[in-house]
Amino acid sequence: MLNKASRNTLRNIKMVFHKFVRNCYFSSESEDTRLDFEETYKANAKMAIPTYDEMRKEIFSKISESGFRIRPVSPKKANCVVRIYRKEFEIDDMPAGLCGADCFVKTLSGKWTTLDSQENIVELSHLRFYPVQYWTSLVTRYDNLVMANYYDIYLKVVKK
Amino acid sequence: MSLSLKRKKEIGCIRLAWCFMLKPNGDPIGVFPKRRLPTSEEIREMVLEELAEKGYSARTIRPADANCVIRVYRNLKHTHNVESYCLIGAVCYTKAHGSNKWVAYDENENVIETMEYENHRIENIFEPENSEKIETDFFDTYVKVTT
Repeated sequence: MLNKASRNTLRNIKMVFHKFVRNCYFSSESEDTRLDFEETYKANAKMAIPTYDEMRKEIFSKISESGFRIRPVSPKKANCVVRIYRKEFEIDDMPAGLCGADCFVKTLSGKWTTLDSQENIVELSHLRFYPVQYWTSLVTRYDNLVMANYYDIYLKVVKK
Repeated sequence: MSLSLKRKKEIGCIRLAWCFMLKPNGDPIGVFPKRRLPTSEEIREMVLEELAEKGYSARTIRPADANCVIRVYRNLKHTHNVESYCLIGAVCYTKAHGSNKWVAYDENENVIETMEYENHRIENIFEPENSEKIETDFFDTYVKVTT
């Protein structure tokens, strides 16, 4: 079993990537040209947030840099769960995206927990979506809860 | 209530697979809805739709209580004979009767593979006689399937 220091180190390992597309202004006499531009811009912007595979590589790299070796195992044998979440949505009709990863470790009572950005304990739940607090400080301020899609990866983590 | 063997085999048969040749710039050739590769979430949704068509409903649940695993796999650049291909798909596993192993079935209800936690390999469709399988990235979703 991981010691307390290792569990706390893992709980604090997080990654999050936000992507906004600022409102674009394109003036054209032709309505068709303007609409084509907006669709192309929106389609390209939507692809800008990392994929699940890319985020997995990043978070695994971060865990390794923190001094751990990891290997995927069955949920029964795991001592760490990496949850990778992703959501594409819109703000003011323009594409935005969110992709990140949290590390959950088992407490002595057997619950999977992590820490949020405010250092509150968050328990692992298996609801259909993962609620992620999302802030932005663009021209318009938003304070949103995004219900993100997610995948869990069960790992055996060992101190190097 | 646990699934009967018949239902496990029916669910364990669900399989989706695509193979796209890639252009030199990495874009897939071929027509697909939305003209781009489906995301892992979209592939997972297709499996859930397929389950719904067969009369099942599925909800995400903790692994200890799950009776099905939906595995989405992707190999975004496999090279064969100097050409590049993208291989993506999904497999459904159910618990083998009397065992803790997760297995998938073929259309004749035979077990064709056992789920491994460390890696996922698929049949080499380019060289069927080659015993070496193709390694893919994968993500698992544990679900409870009910009728």
